[in-house]
Amino acid sequence: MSNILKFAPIGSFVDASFFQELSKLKLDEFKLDSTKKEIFATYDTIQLQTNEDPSISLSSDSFKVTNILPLFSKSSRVLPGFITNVNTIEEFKSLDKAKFIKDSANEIYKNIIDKKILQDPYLLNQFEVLSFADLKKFKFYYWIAFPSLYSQWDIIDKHDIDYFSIDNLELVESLGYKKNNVFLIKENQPKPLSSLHFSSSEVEIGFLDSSSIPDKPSRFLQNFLTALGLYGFKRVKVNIYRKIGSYQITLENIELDHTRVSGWERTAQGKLGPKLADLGSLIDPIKLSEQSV
Amino acid sequence: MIRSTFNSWREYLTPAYHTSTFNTTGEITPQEFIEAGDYLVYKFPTWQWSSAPPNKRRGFLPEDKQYLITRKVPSFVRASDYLGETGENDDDEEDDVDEDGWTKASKPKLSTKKQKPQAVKSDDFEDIDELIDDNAEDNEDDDEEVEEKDPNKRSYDLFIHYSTAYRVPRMYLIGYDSNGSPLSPEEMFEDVSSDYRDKTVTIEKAPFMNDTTTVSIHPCRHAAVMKVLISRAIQAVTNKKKSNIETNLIANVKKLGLADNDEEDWEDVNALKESESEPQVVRVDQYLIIFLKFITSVTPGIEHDYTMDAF
Repeated sequence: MSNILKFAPIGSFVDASFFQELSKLKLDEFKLDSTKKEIFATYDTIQLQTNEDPSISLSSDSFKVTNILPLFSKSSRVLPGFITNVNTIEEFKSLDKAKFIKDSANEIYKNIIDKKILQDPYLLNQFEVLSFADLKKFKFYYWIAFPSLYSQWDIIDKHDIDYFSIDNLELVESLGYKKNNVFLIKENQPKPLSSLHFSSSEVEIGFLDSSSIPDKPSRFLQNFLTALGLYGFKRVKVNIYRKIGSYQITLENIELDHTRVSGWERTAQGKLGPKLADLGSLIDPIKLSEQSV
Repeated sequence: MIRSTFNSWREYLTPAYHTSTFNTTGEITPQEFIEAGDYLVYKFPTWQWSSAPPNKRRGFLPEDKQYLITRKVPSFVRASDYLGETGENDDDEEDDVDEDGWTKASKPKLSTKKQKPQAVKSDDFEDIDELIDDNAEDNEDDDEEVEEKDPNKRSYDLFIHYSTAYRVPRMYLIGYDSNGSPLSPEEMFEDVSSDYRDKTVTIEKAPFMNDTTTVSIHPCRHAAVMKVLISRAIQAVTNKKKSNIETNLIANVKKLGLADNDEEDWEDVNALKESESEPQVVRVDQYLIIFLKFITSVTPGIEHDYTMDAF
């Protein structure tokens, strides 16, 4: 019987306003510039529907990186990311996807090795949007990746724990962790990652889960576990905090390979491929005037 | 136990409110909207208050309580299938004004070949299929089982905003297909039952967000509907409680004020106190629960959790 820790893959919800804003920016600012642009997404932890896969949300606000709006709720979090909007469908097709995600993962790896993530755990996860906007047809091809550095962990113990109380949630935020979902636990109290001691081979961490799938924490946890593996920790206690069914797992590292990268979002059919948003009827001014009364 | 916690919480939260007319008109004041919202959030934590961008903020509501939101509410079955509609019986649609004098909102072109799988959209499917790239990432020993999602699964973000014009809450919806891509208004209309589809459902920019197009249930008839639902709820509860109250009233009147029973329903206490006037069996903070039950009849396939024993 395998007790390997499995993760719930992260999905995306992109609303129409995201593509409307992208069209605007493409016409007015980016033009033919297809370099990476900084954006952000939000995701919810704790306040989830039952059996909900972890997911991020993107909207027109995602482009306003200098003015991040107040979040949906106390338990919402911000995820940094980038958009690479290419100019042709051929370019979209021929771009080396494996290299694209590895380059992104490599930035995370550097931040782990430099220990920057301990000052700012926000740097542990990011997303990449690869997109092509067909502005004539109002069609948007897009593919989102959540670079994930491989490590494998064996679950040697699991038991239920109490729901992370609001007091503790506020404590996490008082550490300046509004954007983050991981922290250390010392004597049952959340503590900043910067207080991590490397002398031990064992550590206890807290994780605000954005998954409500039984036994599968969100994949956002994986990069932090890989980081701890790279720092030499062999055994990690993880407190997975959920509104219903918080639990603690004790993990032992059995494999570590940060060069092995995955995280492209799959389609609903389970394929490794992009998605298409057809906004013809939503933003085509002619069609829109037909619809409005 | 829970109830007593709630009682103290409610005491703390409920200020004296002004002229409440919700059970005679079906309308509520902004203050009552907040009370009802607080109660909804308390009962159903998947609902949350949200703030709005500064330029969309409304001064008569607290900054952090501009509107209510719940996200990723699943919907597996379209309203048209749910109710066994053919989608074609309302094809005599040439008139723009129905018998009640209501202007028909945009005519949703429901696909008559309904329920074609989401992804198989015309010629795009080939395009998008050609873009599949199995080598996009390292998955050597594929230990991860790949899950396919139900192609019929949609997810809705639901928003409740206060309509000052109609003095009622107003519902806005944003839908996503099984891929998390935005649904078109036509597709979202498939989740509205046909009784409402042509009459009171419109495409709107959400007034509390920047540039977000939503489908909204127009509130022009909400007050009337709410009034009926509230009076029905009052009727049901009064009938249920009448006997209790009548028999208990005499027995309890002597020891009124003595805490004879910790478990006693506070509704009963209210009813006793106000026994001269209309017993207050439906409180204004339950308004949004009733409202959601109503919305469920408009969008029967959207499975938000409205099922609770609120009374």
